[in-house]
Amino acid sequence: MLVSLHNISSIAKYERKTLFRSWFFRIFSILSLLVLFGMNFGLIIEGGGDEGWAIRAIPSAIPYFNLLILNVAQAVIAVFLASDFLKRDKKLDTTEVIYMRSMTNGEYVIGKTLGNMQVFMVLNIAVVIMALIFNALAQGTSINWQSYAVYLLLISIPTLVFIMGLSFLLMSVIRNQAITFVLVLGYIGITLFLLQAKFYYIFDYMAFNIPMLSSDIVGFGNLEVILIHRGIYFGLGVGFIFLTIFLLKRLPQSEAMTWFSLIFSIVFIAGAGYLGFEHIYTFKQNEKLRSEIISLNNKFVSEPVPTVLRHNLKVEHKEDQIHVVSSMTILNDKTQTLAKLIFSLNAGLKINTLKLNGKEVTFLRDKHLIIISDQVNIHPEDSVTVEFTYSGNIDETYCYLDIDEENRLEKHGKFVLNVDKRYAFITPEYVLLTKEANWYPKTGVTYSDKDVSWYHPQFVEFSLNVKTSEGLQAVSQGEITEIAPGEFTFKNVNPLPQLSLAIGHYKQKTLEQENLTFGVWYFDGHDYFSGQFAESKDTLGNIINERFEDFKRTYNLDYSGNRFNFVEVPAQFKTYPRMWTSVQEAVQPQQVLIPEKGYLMRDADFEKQKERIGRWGRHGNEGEMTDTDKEIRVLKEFIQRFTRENEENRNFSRGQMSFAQIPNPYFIFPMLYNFQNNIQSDRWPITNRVFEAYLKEQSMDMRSVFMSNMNGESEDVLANIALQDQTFEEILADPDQKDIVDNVIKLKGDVLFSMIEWKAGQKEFEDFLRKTLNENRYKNISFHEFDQLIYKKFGIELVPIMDNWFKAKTLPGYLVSPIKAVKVKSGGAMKTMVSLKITNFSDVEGLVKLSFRMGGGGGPGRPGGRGGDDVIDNLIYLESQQTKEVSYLLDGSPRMGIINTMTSKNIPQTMMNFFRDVEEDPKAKPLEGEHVVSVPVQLKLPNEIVVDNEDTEFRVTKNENASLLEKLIIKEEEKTRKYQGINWWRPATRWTAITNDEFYGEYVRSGYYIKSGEGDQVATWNVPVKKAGYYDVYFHLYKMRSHGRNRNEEKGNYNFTIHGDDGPEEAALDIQAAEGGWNHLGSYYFSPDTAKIELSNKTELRMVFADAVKLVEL
Amino acid sequence: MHIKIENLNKIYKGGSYAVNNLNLEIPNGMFGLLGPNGAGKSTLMRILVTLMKPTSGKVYFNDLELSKNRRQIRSMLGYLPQDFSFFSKLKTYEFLDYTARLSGMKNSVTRRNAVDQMLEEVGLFEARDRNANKLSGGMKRRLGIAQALINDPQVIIVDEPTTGLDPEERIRFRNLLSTISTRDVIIILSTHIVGDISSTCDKMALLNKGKLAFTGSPEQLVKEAEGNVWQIEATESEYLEINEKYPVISTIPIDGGWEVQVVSNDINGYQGKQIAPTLEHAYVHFMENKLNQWSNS
Repeated sequence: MLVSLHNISSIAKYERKTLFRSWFFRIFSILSLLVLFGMNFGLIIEGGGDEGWAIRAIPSAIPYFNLLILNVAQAVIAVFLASDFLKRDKKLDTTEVIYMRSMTNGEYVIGKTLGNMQVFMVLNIAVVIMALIFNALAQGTSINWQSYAVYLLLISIPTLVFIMGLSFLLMSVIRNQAITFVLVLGYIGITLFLLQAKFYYIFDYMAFNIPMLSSDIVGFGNLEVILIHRGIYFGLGVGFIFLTIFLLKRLPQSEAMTWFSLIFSIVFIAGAGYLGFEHIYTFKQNEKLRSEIISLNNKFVSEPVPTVLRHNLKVEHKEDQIHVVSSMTILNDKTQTLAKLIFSLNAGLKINTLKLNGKEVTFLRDKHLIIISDQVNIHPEDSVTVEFTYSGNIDETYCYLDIDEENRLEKHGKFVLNVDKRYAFITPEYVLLTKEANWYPKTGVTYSDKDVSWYHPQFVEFSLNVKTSEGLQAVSQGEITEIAPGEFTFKNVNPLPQLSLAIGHYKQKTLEQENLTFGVWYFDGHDYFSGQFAESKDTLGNIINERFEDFKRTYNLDYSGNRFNFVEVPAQFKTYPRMWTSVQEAVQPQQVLIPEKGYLMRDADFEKQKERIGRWGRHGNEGEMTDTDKEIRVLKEFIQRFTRENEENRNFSRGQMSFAQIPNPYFIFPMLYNFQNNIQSDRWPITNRVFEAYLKEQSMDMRSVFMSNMNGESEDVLANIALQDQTFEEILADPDQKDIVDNVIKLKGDVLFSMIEWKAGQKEFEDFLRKTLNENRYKNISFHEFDQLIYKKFGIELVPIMDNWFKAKTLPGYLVSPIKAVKVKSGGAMKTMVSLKITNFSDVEGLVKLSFRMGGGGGPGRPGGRGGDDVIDNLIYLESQQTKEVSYLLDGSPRMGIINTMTSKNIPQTMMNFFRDVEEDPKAKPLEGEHVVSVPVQLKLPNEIVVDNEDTEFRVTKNENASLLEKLIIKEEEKTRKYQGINWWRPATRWTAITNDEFYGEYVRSGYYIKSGEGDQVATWNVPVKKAGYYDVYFHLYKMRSHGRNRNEEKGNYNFTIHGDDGPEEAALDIQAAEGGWNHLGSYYFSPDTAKIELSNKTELRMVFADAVKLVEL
Repeated sequence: MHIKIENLNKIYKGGSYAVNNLNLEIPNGMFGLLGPNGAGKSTLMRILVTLMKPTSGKVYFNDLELSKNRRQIRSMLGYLPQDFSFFSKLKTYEFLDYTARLSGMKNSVTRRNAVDQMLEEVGLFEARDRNANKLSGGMKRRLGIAQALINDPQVIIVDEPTTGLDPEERIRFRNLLSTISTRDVIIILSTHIVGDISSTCDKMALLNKGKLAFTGSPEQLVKEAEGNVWQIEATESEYLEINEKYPVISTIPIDGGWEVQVVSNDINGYQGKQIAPTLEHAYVHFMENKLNQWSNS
């Protein structure tokens, strides 16, 4: 017997006993258990917001998150205990009486390791049991027994083996516990906070970042990746342990075993290295393949593409494959004869036969492309039939070619849950195929980064027949008929731009309405929702219908389908926003695909949402709400998830809460537009998106305007800043700007359509557009056609406007006088007259949109655009260097006015003006209209000298007291943004530039802010006084708009030092008493070049804002 | 049982010899290893218990060469190191059970009985549930002895076993060893306390500076010192001289001076008489006279 199990178990037994008695272990374990108890309680029992729902929605998430958190804690304990073992052995003489016993070094080290492992397994099992108890207590969450064992194996064991092996090895080599401890802890810290998911998770030994959520439907989506990854660390750990045996400072008992342990260690470490290589190589190889695919697409992108008229698909689903017969009728709608046909079909699907007009033809298959040049001769207006038979699975490497690796590897999931990203599924029990999977042949190539014309939506008459295993349900567009068990047909009345197919253990619930059936396709056993609407179940259909009607009304667009289904899909299903369309794969014709119980949507947590609403109701003045009320509120909030254009992405990092607006993938706008209409332009492929943006603009989202205030800069402002240096065309081509490209499209769309509206009339143009869209439903409208229609109707030539709009760099720049609002009597009625003067100082013409939001009630922050608020838009056209005075008479009281310069030199480009307590001016003459005046808007009088923070005479001190880390962080930020947002929670400790329309400024309304301090940080305005004399000194005060009741209650002074001829003098401004805008600081005598005004950061206020100073000659 | 040491050397870094060309045979029974601090006793013992590798030379346990047969030899050994006081967090009986397991006792019933019996023998049964690291110094030592004796090892090597034991415990320990030494075992007892050896060992070796100075029975060592131990009645001033000249073993005050015992072959005119040497006298005689002569010549 080479190895004595008796010895190993003896050593393990007493190692275990010793460790269990270690206070370090006990305290750490109890702490871990307490923390996890708290988290489980908060997330599972209490509910706990987004995170709680994500965890309760998917059963495997409970063991997953518990073990992940435990894993971090136990990695630390393991280092301590493991490094302790060799230290202990070194110090204790009692070890000698163990060392001289008859056992091999291998038995000794393995025994010690096992002892350690057993101790941790006990802790792990304790956590697992606790998680199980919570799991059992969680209502509506089943228990995924298997996942408990699987996560133990995949998360805990490799991590423990690795961290122990590493600690043992370092201890054997360094032989100093303190250094080992510091090294390993440092390593843990670096992997946890710095390396994280970098380099394809290769450093993520704790499995804290690598996606590992197991779906209730398809299990792990990336099992191979996980096994390889965990194998790397398990292998390394075992290798290190064997190496420790080899290096153990004890005379070996068996020479052979010593060398064996070296060989084993080499084998395991090499094995781990191989797996690591394999892991990285797979990613790299995929990346390489993707760029090859794109190059291939680029090569063929300019080939003319025929249009598909009809497409019949017969799909047979067997095990993890589909077998498909696809026959389509294609039409050559080009002007030239086609001698070559190019189709794309996912490369994982192998073509068995290909027939053209019923005759088998030869073809070339290169990756996903199918190129037929054999017997192809299709004259214009001719059509042919093409029949493919193919089978296989989907190679997801071919999906989302436009999405870069960074994005594809970005964390998906909530809290510590990491979910892998899948784009298609074909498994024996489940299938999900969408257009992105390219599961049926389409004409032309897929994504090309050279030429956007690859994207050519076509409206196709699809018909589908699906045969699958009995007991499985197929879900697709159209009317479903089950013709035999496991065999379904789908019939569509109207052409569709795309077809999706899901097969699984689906069940359906429907709500019939007049012309529309709302339905939910959910997985068997996932009906957690029906019971939540017990009281309101009879009215649900009506409420949903009403909301849907509201939604259509908001956009003034119609939905022509007669069914609308939510389809539950596996948790891993991920979609991305695209550049050329706002349609994400989550929204399909007639369907919205929702990942597993909507685990990432808090609004889908109906039960807890009802509780929350109930609590709110009690706190507010609404009194006790009935169950029906709560249910309806919850339902409405859920529906909103699909009717908002953007979702807020709250990010909490470095003490700063930042809100980013990201496109809502579930926004059902495409149902009203993209799945019914398409405006196709080969020259300006972005056109359809611009139309889309215009149609969406009908519901101006006030959120972004307020977000800008909250957060410093909204994406719209960033988009305008980007347009200062780059043309629209350049931005579209610039991958660095992809985050704001949506906003640039929106802004540019605004510019284009405002120009058209100004020329054609707003209402007239809107009516025209909607009529045109209606008449051209289910077919492409070419830009050429549209241009002709608009020319015929309004005499507007779009092409020159478009060209300039794409390529022009110069932006208009405006100065606007303060807005005056008075109440006047006009025609016997009391009206509000709003007037202002505006100058376009630039060399290009421009349009300014002035919107009034009517209705006095409500406060800022109320999301508008849902029919509740009345918005009156006015356009002011200004030629280069032109000044206009404009005046409007409004019925009722406007709440606010927004001057939107769209894209301009003005930063921020929108200015808000609140109208409060508008008073009657009996002398004022009611006036409406605009007229050109010769005197431009002046921000200062001739006897005034203003120094703004944008001027060179303004200076701020640099705070050098920042820590190295802080410097690194700041440096990084400086690189990305000139203007920061205000950090309310942790104000900047150095002067930081911010923008806001309430700052003083010509075009750029900006200022600096800093956290209050000891007076060591100073902002200085050196005022260029030309003539000696007495001057009044004013300071332009920025007061934050009140966000809450108590915001403005802050008391304190701004402390100035004014350097005049009489030497420096102190001046203070009481902020509570002062109004925003110019504030008088005093009168001083200044000589040329002596005038200097300083503002220090010493104040009782939380922060200080430095903007502009003004000297008025007396 | 028989141990043979051939040409054993242990050279530490820097070239100092801890064991210098040692040749020694150790037969059955109690074997005393005597020598001053730093003589190489502990090094020799650590080599014998396979904790240390000799620089050169060979050691045979019966016919088994040490470096090639660690498995068998380790399973024959019981060892009590010199300092034996730091334990990990184990209870007394657990520690003993641990060593019993590693000494090869697989049957749990036998082992439990053996452990209890051994605890009884060393007088730790009452303390069996106490944490080993909370025991008193003497108790720790006894636990050390117990672990060295568990599972009847054929070779028992104890390094300075009686330090820290009170006289009563020391006697009990000697008796325990004596009882065991009647079996077919070797007990190697390293000490610098001469009394431990004189009362128990049949054979002994004297080590000095890594070299073997003497091997044989204690009686032989005593014999060699015969005629070299003197008792002198000295005045105050003589006493000071004597103290300078000879190794003084004991000094007892008497009327008008001191009764001094010295080790020397001659007392050059002082008033005195030869007395019969004890082992202690013999040890001093050996260390002071014989070895010094060697090193001088």
